[in-house]
Amino acid sequence: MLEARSVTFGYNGTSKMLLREISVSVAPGDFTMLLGPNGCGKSTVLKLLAGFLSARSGDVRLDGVELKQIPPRERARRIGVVPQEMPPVLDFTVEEMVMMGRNPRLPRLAPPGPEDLAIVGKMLKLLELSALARRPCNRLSGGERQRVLIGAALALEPDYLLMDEPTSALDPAHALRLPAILRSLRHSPGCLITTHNLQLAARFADRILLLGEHGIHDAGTPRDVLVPENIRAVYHCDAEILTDRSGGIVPCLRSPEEQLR
Amino acid sequence: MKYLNCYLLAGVVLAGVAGILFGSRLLPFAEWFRDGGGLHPIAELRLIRMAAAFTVGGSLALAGLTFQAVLRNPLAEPFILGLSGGAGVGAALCIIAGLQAITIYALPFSALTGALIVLALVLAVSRGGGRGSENLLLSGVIAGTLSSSLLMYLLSIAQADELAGVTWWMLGDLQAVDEKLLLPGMVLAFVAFGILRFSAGELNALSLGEERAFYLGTTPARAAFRLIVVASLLTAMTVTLAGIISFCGLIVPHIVRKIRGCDHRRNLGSVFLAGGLFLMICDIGSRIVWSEREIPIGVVTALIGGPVFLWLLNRRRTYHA
Repeated sequence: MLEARSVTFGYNGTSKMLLREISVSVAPGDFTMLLGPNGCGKSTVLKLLAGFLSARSGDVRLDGVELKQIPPRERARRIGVVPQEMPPVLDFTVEEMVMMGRNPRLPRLAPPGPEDLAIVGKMLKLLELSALARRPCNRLSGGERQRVLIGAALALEPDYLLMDEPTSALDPAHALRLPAILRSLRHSPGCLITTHNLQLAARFADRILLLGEHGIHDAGTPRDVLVPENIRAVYHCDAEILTDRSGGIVPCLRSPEEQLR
Repeated sequence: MKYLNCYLLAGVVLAGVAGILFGSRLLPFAEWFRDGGGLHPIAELRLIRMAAAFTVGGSLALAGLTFQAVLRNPLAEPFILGLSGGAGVGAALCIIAGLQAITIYALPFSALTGALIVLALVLAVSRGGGRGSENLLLSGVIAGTLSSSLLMYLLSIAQADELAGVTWWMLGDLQAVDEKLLLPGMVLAFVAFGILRFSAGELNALSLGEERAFYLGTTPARAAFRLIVVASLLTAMTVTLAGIISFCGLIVPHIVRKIRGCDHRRNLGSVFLAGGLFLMICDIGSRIVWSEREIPIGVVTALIGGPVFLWLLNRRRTYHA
């Protein structure tokens, strides 16, 4: 279990706390989505859980051990992160970039072995990147680059996967395919995914954490959390919750014009 | 290219042979060895010079590759942290103060001291602020500018012969490499190569930025510090041996990455060999193009490196357009 317990966080140089006393946990095999408006601290929660940021109070633990006590390579082997952006500097190819995701598992001196190559090949195929394998990442579209980042994190085969808006640049078909890909993995990792895509969250999440301005506003199943009251309180707009043919919920937010009518 | 390292190694051997053959006068193979055994003095001098060219070229290329990855700047080169300015001030002070009369090692050690003082200052200043490579880069640029101003002042008060000495040294010079300095230089180059090869995964990770490097299992600040110290020591060693040789550390990593890819696990060996080969060829060129008067090697590397650099710059602009 990867968990943040009663964590308070504020950036250096400010007295304002972005997160106050929040607790978040991801269990193995979990599929949790973290929702909330811009600037509420979704990415910060992921960075705290990954150990990149340090909380002012509270602690982050991986299977009961404080994250800071775990050696960097071991921590990185167990927690994969898909960041929002990939600032390209050197002309790494798609294949090199996905292989780099396995960095914490690769021996320091020997080249990647047959198993590493097979896993990278599998991820390229799974994310429809095989045809782009030799292309520099600088020459990819935003959506293709995002798939490369996802591929790199999956190639690591982590126990926990923290994904920061992994579908923001994906077309609808690839966005819909992502949850199926994550569930099809051999060691299905515990996933915590931030997103603004409420429909995707409603359809695929086991659990939703709804983050508001003052911490976690509500948590539970999509049906329990994605209700008009919660959406109004957090996003400050009205919503209608429809039901699709399979009985799943489809949250539909109303535009300001519709709300005025 | 699968056998690139084999081709480069063969190139190094061939360049080594050519470097002994060609110079102000041709030295046929039959004259390489003396009757009583041992190498002919000219062959020995040229062999030392070729070994120095390989060591300096390989080290500069490795340092350039490291700086480009750690600073996340494809246009970074070994002197980006102002080491050349520091070394220049050290060398100028030595020449103007006449320290060379005391020992022949005064010049290289003054240059090394200057470079190391600048490195220590840059590292100390950049550790505040907490903005990682950006801070380091800015501190390096400022240190370089300050030491260049100081160097200009020293040159302005120097006598004509002292001025010529400093200028020649600043253009790079493999003529006067001392074999007693070369051996420790070679050892340092190979040890540094080993450290960098061991850290190739960290170099890959750091080139993606501090945050991603952390997620890939490195301790970014510590790894960056260690790698920058290694690259700077390599640079300082080249300055001690041969003065300031520009462009080698900038263009060789770019060319090798184009052929071998960006993965530092794969390209480090090729960069080392290609850097060595590049400088060996430039040195042979500097001796045979104008045989009456040798052209400083820094001029030859700049004549080749300048156009390549502009091509790279132009290529990057079109790339991001």
